[in-house]
Amino acid sequence: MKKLIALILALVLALSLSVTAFAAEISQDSDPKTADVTVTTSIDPTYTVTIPANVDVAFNATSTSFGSITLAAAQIDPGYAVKVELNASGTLKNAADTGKTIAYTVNDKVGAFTSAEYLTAGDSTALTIDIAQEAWDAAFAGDYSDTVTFTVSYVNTTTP
Amino acid sequence: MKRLTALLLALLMLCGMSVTAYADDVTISATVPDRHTVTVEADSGKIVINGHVCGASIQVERLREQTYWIIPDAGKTLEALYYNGEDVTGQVKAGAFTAPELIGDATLKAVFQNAPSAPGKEDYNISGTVTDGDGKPVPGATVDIGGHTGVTDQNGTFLIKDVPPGTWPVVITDGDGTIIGIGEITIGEPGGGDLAVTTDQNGNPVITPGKGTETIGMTLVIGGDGTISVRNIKDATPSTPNQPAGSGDTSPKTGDDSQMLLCLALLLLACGGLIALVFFGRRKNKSTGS
Repeated sequence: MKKLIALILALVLALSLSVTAFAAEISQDSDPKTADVTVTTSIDPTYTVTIPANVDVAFNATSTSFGSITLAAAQIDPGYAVKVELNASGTLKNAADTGKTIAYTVNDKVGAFTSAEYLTAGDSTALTIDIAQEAWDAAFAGDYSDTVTFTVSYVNTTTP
Repeated sequence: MKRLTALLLALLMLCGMSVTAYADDVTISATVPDRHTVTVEADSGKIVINGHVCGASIQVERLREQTYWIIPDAGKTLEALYYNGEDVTGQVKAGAFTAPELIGDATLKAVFQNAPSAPGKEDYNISGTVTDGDGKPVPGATVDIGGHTGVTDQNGTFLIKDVPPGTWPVVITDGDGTIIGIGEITIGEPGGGDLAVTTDQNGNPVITPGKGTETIGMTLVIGGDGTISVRNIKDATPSTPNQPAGSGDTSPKTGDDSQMLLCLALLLLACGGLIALVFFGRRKNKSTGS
């Protein structure tokens, strides 16, 4: 069994070595005295995404900046993108009584934001938290909150 | 061998995968206040809430319908009331305005004007009883009608002297100075007949004193919301014995010819009696002498 594991690990190690150089021999008898050398390398994709931080919405504010999603740095394979998805319930819940809520939406400049794909560093999406005045007017007194989740993934854009 | 292959492939896949996912949670929070500020402006009067006179601003509970009482100073009457800039004068009933559920800071502005009055006309005494909504008398309360005041006794009765004609706020405060009732009455020009009562567009009584009315009687009923209902309005002028209340002083006076027939009848009766006494006196003397 140990041998088997050692074999597997060796194989994995060998495969993970991504830089390989093939040398050609040139002798004085070679004609022409040139040789082609193929150097291949594989660079793992790297990226940095900034997402909005916690935000406190002021009372009666119908639109509050939620910051931006920004692809800060990226080395991305062709055909791939960094995808950011937002999962939000859409209601702020009263801390004392979760049955009391305030409806909200997270919007970009187009409309409700659910996800976006980014290709190059600097790509950004500004977000706002919007609450209708009618929702504020009907809200009971108290502290409200909701937790939203930003999921960042590296996706193949050519795959349907 | 198959298991080994599967394990190997899985490991290779794991090593070869460049797609990773990362998730992070962000909190959105908000606070809805439980009270809001109502800024109050009333230059020639007072605005009362929950029995207390408002200062420049007050804190009112959120989502609560709040009733405000508008009390003009003596000689003034409400001209207009603005709530958040909107003219709500038409919603003032019996001196009170009930604002809709409060959902944010608000403003309330009362504008007053000089109350119509009849200078030089007769003033009236106002007597009556103050009761609560169950009909129980309210002792020790101060009744203020247009700046003229009286205090109720143990039976809830009061007397206020020399109230001139005009439209007046009626304010009742308890012994602690808390306003417990607010209303409005109008005392008009005296009419030629008996005292009469009508109502204005807000349901407040308009009293037309009768000829000879000196004292107006009434019952002030304080409702559960602090609104005063004015009931049993009548001519309560003190009457002379054997004469009905409200008829005033009807004893014959010099130049008073209203009871001329009665006077003539009494005069004739007296003369007849005197003649009879003289006649029978002489007849008796004659019979004694003979």
